[in-house]
Amino acid sequence: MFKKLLSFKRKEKEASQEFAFLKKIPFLLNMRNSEIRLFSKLLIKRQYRKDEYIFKQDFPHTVLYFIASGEVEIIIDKNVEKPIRLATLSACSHFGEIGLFVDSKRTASAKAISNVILYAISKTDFHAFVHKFPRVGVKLLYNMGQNLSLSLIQSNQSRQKNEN
Amino acid sequence: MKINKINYIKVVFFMIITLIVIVGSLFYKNILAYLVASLFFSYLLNPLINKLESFHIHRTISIIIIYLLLTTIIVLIAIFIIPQLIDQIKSMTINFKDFINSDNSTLNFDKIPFISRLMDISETIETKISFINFTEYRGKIFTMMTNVVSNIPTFVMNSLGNIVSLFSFLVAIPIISFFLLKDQTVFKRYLLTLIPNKYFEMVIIILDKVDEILGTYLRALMIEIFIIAILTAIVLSIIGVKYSLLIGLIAGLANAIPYFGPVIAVSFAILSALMSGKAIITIFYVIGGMWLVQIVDNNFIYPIVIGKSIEMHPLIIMLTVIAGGLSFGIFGMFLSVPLIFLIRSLIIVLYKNLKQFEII
Repeated sequence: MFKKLLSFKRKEKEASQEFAFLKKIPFLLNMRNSEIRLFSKLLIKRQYRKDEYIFKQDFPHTVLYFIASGEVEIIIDKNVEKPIRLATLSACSHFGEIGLFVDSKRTASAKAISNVILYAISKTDFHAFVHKFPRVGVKLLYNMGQNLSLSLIQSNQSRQKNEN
Repeated sequence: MKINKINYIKVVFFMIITLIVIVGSLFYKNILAYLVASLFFSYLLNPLINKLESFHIHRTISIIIIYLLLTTIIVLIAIFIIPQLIDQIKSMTINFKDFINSDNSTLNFDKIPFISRLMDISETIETKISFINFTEYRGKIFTMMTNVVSNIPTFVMNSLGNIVSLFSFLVAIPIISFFLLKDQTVFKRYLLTLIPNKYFEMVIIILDKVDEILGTYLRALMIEIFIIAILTAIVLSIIGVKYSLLIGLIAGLANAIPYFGPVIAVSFAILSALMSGKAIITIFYVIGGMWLVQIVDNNFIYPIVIGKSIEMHPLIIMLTVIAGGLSFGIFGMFLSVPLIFLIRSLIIVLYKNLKQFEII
């Protein structure tokens, strides 16, 4: 019994170590440990090799990804002469969140530039989670809204800079 | 050279995996029905468990609460409804057996006042007007009716026998479903980790679509069966038809068979009314009452409960039911439409996504 309890504690510890990076993700910053644990139950581990595509531009929006390790580049590589790099993301970042709110196709491709470990959550699972746990869901959506607004401000500022 | 070596290893690996899957399928083939039934059962209960879980009740506790509630309902049904239902089945079977003569090839029409009166009238017409001969046609119709009716007690008794032999099956389903419900996300996550990166997002879309179609349709169907059974039982009780509870249950279940189901239910109700010696006007009341139930179903219950969950042309639905019935009997009639709809939807989703994900 005691051994079982110990192994359970060990498993819990391993799980919390595995998902420790999630606490550094911008829109999960002020979430409690129990809430992160609840959320992490829906995450699916994926491993990609260097130069492997995670998704391509114009693919349907289905999944939100969190980077646990490695680097991913977001590029526009369709209908352009030379691929345009929009961002390079490293551990504790996320990408693919637009699809959670809009039914559209991927606006850019995501490609692994080193061996990466990602955690994925499907659009349906994310929506189900928000409905099932509305208190945590509201926190999550509020953080995401804040995050997207910040990106919008940044993008406006850089556009202004370019115009000037 | 290295590439060839890797491909060779890959081929051997996939061959071994395929072999394991085949051997595994053969080993588990007898419990496939258990697994499918448990999946259906889990689909029905999952929204209730999710609702409880949203109140921060642990999933296992939520499942136990729903199981306890379900057990209470089943016990209440067993106490108040099942004895009546068994009495009605017994009485109906005895009535049917009385109705068939001991040689098992002819029907005792004297037991049905309306038909014996009809026979008297036809005989009178025959004696009065010499060129009219009803006897030949009457003989043919009676032979056909004998065949149909003489099979009913055997069918009912066989079904009861099957139900008893299905007892272990029914006990196993909630146990398997318990684990399916409890570790639902674990199973799904494990399954998805096995999918190659190239197909990962596409498989997620397909799984979601199957979940949506199957879950919505099954839950809606159960609600519809329940409402139709209650409405029919109430209508038949008001009209005064015997075995209203049993016929209500048959009508509810038969309603799951598009187009043919309501006809089967009305036939049972008319037969019951005729055999209990009701006035001829009762038949019209029965038809009118059950037609009313169908109007309520088609205009209110079906659009609200099932809605657009099955969008197929009526002709395709009808042909599918006939094909299902001819191939697999009554179960084929029940399952053919949702199964064909699921396969059709799967092919559409698969084709659309294979294109969108640039696989084909």
